[in-house]
Amino acid sequence: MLFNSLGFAIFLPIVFILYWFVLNKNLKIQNALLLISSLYFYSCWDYRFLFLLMFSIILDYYSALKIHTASLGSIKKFWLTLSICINLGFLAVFKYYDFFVHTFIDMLSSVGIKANLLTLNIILPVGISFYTFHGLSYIIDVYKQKTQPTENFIDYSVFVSFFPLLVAGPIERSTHLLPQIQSERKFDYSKASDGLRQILWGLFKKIVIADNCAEFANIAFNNCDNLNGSELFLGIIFFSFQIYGDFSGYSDIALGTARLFGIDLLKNFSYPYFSRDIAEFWRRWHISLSSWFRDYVYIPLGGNKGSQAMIVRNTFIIFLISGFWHGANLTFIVWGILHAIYFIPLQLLKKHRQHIDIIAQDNILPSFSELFKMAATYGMVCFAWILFRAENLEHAIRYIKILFSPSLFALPNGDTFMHTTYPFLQIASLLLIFISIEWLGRKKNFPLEDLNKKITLPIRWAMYFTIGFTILYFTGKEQQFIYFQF
Amino acid sequence: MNHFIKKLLLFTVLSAFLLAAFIYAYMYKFGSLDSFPPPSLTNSYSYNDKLLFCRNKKADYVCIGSSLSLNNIDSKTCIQNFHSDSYLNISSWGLTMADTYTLLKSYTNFSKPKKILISSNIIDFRSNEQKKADAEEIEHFFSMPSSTMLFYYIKHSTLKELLDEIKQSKVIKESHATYETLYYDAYGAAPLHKDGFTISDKRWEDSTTGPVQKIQYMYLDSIAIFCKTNNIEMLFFQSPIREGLYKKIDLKLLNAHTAQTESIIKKYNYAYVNSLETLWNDSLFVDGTHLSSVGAKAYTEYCFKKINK
Repeated sequence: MLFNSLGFAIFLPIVFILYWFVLNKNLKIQNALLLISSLYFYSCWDYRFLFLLMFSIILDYYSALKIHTASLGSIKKFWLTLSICINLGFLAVFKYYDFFVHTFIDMLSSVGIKANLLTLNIILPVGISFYTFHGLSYIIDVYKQKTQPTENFIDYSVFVSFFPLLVAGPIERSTHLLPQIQSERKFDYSKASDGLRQILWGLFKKIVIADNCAEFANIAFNNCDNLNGSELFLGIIFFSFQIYGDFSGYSDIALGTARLFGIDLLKNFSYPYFSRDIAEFWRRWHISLSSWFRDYVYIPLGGNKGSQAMIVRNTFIIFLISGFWHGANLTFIVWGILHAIYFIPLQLLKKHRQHIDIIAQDNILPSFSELFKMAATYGMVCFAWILFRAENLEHAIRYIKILFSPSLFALPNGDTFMHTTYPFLQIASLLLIFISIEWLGRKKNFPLEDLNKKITLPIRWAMYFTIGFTILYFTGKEQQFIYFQF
Repeated sequence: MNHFIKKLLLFTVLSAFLLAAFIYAYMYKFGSLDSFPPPSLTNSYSYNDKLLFCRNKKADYVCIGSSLSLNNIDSKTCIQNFHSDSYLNISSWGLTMADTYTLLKSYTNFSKPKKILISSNIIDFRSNEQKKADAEEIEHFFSMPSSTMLFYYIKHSTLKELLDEIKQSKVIKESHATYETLYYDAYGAAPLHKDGFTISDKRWEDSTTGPVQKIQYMYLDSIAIFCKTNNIEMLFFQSPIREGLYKKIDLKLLNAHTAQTESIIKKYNYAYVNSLETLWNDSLFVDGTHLSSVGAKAYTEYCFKKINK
């Protein structure tokens, strides 16, 4: 059930009405409703993997209680290790088994050994990367005594399976989400209205921006050998907005939906393409994942403490794992390594925390220096996106070779982007409008936030109608959310 | 909370009203109020339009197939020969045998005909492309009441498609004198009237013959088996090609095609008429294979005379 589907448009109001009108008097039953609707939501994707989700929930719930009640440190460690191993084991099998087999076969054949190992073509359960990390954060927090385990199985199940974040995050923390689930929720008009605005903006990003940019990006990447450098340049620009619109749009819809139920989720994106350096980019892109790796991998490894070599090692490991988390393909690993190469110099020069304010905070436009830094950072990120989007390393190398050939300065061929649902100029204009709106709203969590405080009702409604009409008009070829594949 | 719901409902109703008003105004300016586009159940406008036309229409005698059935079969002649006006032409542009098979199954689950008529020639066997059509969805659509129509538009159509089709439908739904006409008669056929018709040189000279896809013969066989299993009688008319094209056509290919189709139809003891045994004057045509309304009458009468003999 995609967020931008008719099914979800029917599902959400039903759950909302039951939640606030029918079952609002009893917190336990309200949470049970969230659990049932979340499991139903997940089963619409693939009911076969419900057992896996439930198993993960039961395992972590039980393990946390065992950790909490155990008196010996060794027993606590045993349950922690068991939970981590089983959770990561499932992730490894479903996500990486075939990759490891293929890589092993390739390695053997490179030294002249023919191997015929069994590949299973395993289907990847939707959301496994996300709900596994939810569970892991809970179990680790309980072990470190940052949080108490809950004895309420339903509350814990809702924490892991809450439908807005189940299939593509944000990756929540038990210290942030669980207390909200355990507390009574009162309907907040302002929160719910902002939630709806955030859903609207998320749909705009996904349907108008991401899905339409995808068509152009696909033309560039699927036909790179037949295109010139300037066309591939446009292709990567479009991909950068496809992935941003897609993923941040999904996050906006998730956050907005949660707010309708009185629940606040962690912010996942904060205008990453306005970053002035790579360090700032990683504080603004997929925030929930990068902070998860920081808290549960980087800091336990030693973090910033220790020698320069250790800091570099720890940073390298984080980016490597981050790349690996995204998928079973060498391209993601190289993508991670590239970002490590971008990041480490800033860290060594202790310049990785120089941009923690909002760009052009007191001005309307950025200064030339800020503009240059944004462009440079955006360029580095886009170059890395080539690896992210390419089917394999060989494809990425071909793309890069043509991109950086003299044909980069040739004019794009008028026919290249002809056969898209909407004309190139229309989508390019929309992109510019989108970037302008995001720029103007960069001080808020999302551009439409708290609009009611500044603009009168008729004008607000006109804006909502215009955005809604644009979404309806520009609904092109529906594209799957990119991060569902992770 | 109630305030929130009230405002949300008010906004939704107002937006729906504004959207409807916009579409109505757009239709008034660019389209026609009498020809609202159909919901996009498939990726073919003609197919969608025919499905909309055939909704809730049951018939004992059905003409099915591509534009060679849509344009080349005269409804009145069929009614006279079937001795019944329980007749419907459910054909659409570009339907291959594979598409025809899917449509036949869907329609039969809604209304089992006694007899089907297919008018076809080699051009229906040249493509492997199947229309994107959900057979189950089409089957449900045939029998759904009008009150559910909005649901189909919301589920299948996009606003841009709708606006583009509003413009398109004005031309093709209101004129007989264009190749793309979907100006149906009372039974769903779309005769092509020569008055005011601009004949395309390219289409006029298109030799129509070319390599065929063997899988389409398998689908024709499947159609015949389906009819046999469901006690539906089948008539197959080999549609004519204009006389002036014979010097361009690959006759070997054409003869092989007619022999193949004939053997399939006769294997099940169904009626087969090969109009290519006769030469058809160019004046009866609007292009290489599509007949004018006069030509369609002559061809349909010819085929039924052959059967009745």
